[in-house]
Amino acid sequence: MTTPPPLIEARDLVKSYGAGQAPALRGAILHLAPGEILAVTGPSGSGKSTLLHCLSGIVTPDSGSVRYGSERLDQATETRRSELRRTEFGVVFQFGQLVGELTALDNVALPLLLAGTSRKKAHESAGEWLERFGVRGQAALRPGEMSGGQGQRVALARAMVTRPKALFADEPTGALDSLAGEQVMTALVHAARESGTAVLLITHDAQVAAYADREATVRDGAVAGETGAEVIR
Amino acid sequence: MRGLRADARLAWALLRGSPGSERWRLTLTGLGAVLGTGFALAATVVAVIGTRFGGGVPRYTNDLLNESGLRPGVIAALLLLVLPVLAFIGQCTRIGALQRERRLAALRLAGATPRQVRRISALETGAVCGLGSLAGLAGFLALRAVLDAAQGGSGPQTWPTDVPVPWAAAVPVVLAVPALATLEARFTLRRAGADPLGVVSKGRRPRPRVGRGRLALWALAPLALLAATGLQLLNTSVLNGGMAMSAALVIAVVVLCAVALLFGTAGLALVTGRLAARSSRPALLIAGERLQADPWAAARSHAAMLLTALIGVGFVGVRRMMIDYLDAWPESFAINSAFYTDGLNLTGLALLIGLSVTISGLVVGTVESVITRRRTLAALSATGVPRSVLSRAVLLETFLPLAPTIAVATACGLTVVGSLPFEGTSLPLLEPLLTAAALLAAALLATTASLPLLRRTAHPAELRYE
Ligand SMILES: Nc1ncnc2c1ncn2[C@@H]1O[C@H](COP(=O)(O)OP(=O)(O)OP(=O)(O)O)[C@@H](O)[C@H]1O
Ligand SMILES: [Mg+2]
Repeated sequence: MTTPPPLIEARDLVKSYGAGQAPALRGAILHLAPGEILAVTGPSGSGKSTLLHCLSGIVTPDSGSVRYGSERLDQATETRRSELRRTEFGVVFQFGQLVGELTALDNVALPLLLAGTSRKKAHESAGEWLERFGVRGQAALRPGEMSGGQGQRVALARAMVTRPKALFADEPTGALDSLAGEQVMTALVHAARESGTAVLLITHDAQVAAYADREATVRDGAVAGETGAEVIR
Repeated sequence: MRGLRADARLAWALLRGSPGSERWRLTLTGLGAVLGTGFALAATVVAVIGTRFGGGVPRYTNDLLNESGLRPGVIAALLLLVLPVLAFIGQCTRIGALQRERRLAALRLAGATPRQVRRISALETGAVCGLGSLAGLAGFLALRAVLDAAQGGSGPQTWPTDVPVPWAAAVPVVLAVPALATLEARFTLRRAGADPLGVVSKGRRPRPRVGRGRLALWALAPLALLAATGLQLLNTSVLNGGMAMSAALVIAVVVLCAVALLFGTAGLALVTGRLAARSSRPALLIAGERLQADPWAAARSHAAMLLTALIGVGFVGVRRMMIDYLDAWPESFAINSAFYTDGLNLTGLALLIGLSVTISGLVVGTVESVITRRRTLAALSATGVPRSVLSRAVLLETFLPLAPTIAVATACGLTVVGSLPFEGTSLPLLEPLLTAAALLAAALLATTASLPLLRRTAHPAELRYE
């Protein structure tokens, strides 16, 4: 059985947030295969979020490489990395990623609008995605007027509206109760499988990690172990 | 072009969803543009009086407009009035900065490039100031028509409404005001939208800017030395040289003093902040922490005030000395001493206008700083710090760095005035000192005006809102 080439591959990532501080990442190695769901777990402060930010091109590592296909994300310009975020990657965090001034519909349409899609088309797709995540009824509301679970679904709809190659989710259900969390996770997994989107999912919750094909554990800024890799493909 | 239209649409959608503070910011910014355009247009009209575009030999009731040697002074005064207006617009840019930062970061996260984000912000300011500028033009033309009708046709006139509006200069002015304001906004927001994680890392406090406060302290010593040397030079009667030479020297020294005062405010904010933070009185403690955290914030919001104090004290002193001089040597000015007093009064009026714009800027600045710290203040209030202590802390935050620097500004102004060659007069003290005290009182009053907002803001319930 041949393994397909990884979608994103990070090698020997080192990242510190300023002189005198212990590095948040020290030689982390991780890859994300096309279409797989990868859970990243580990103790608080171990560097999971930093790893996700490096892989998604939100920040650049101090050293090491991040390959996306034939591209080096760690060397790409800010503009190119922004472009990737609105075309091929989606990001969801625990909170705060929605624009407070825009309605749910505009928020979901945002990556398309920024890319120059016509307003009508962008709103059409945005409406469909809101529907799929069960928050069509909230389309005209602004993030401040929604519940936490609804907000996370809108954030997911936005992350998926471009049918990205990769979805980066940093504790997307961290602020939700277990029922709401489960609903959001089911919707996420379903949508990702259907679009063939690979998911990198940070979580503290074993129940959430159970949705993944594979699990990587981060400790002290490095990937300490992986399980489940042999189970798939 | 298409990108621009999409960005403009987005800017509009963002604006519609914005909270009240954002609309306030844009309204005030627009008003600033109205004022700035008005002053600059007035300057262009004065500039063409007596030229071949300006409707013949000037015959107005006021010699300031008649004498070709005095008109440049009038023009300069009108253009100088644009400065506090720009300072005001700058203050307005800071309203809601935190929230805007959050919004821009969220846009970046969704894939907007830094350029796109800056363009969206610039579009906002530019559009609002453009509208303000047009409104300023309309207002100017309307006022001109009203004055023209009011003063009738015959005899010398008060207002130069007979001079045609010099469109060749007026159009660039109407364009320049929004352009300047946009540039200024871009400078103020130069770091905005740099970090797509701005939203997510909201738990992290911004790093204290102590380093920059220290820089101010280091730069202060040579600056103060330079300014002192300049003042000393003035006093050892170098002013016996030519008129132009003396004027240049006086202006240079005033500018030097202003810069030194600015650095002085930042340095002083740091030092008084340190001292206050050691106090055991809660209000002083809170004010001290805040001053330490960002010493330049004080310098920024008090810059226009200090400049006003320096110029105001100087002007009041010069005015008194000139009046005394005219009284002392009545025979040499028998013909037209009213001409001088008129000029003085008009300058005083211009200064008052400048002062009111400056004070408005101060109010905006204080309100802004209260809104920005909403969560901190609410958290303090929730842990049981009485509202009165918070109010006192806000007042102290203004007073601690401002009072000493206004005192120094007064001393500088008086020294410059004292060096001017008015024979037979003595240096007036009463009026300049009263002016300084009045300015300080006005600044404190302006800060007090923001306290009702504090009372509403520093409510534990605020903590529930994001
Ligand atoms: N913006 C930042 N500035 C300074 N230090 C940071 C910043 N972001 C992260 N760190 C530091 O880097 C280390 C790793 O942080 P990171 O957020 O990656 O951990 P994490 O594994 O995601 O933790 P958690 O599970 O609590 O979210 C921590 O020690 C943290 O203090
Ligand atoms: Mg994290």
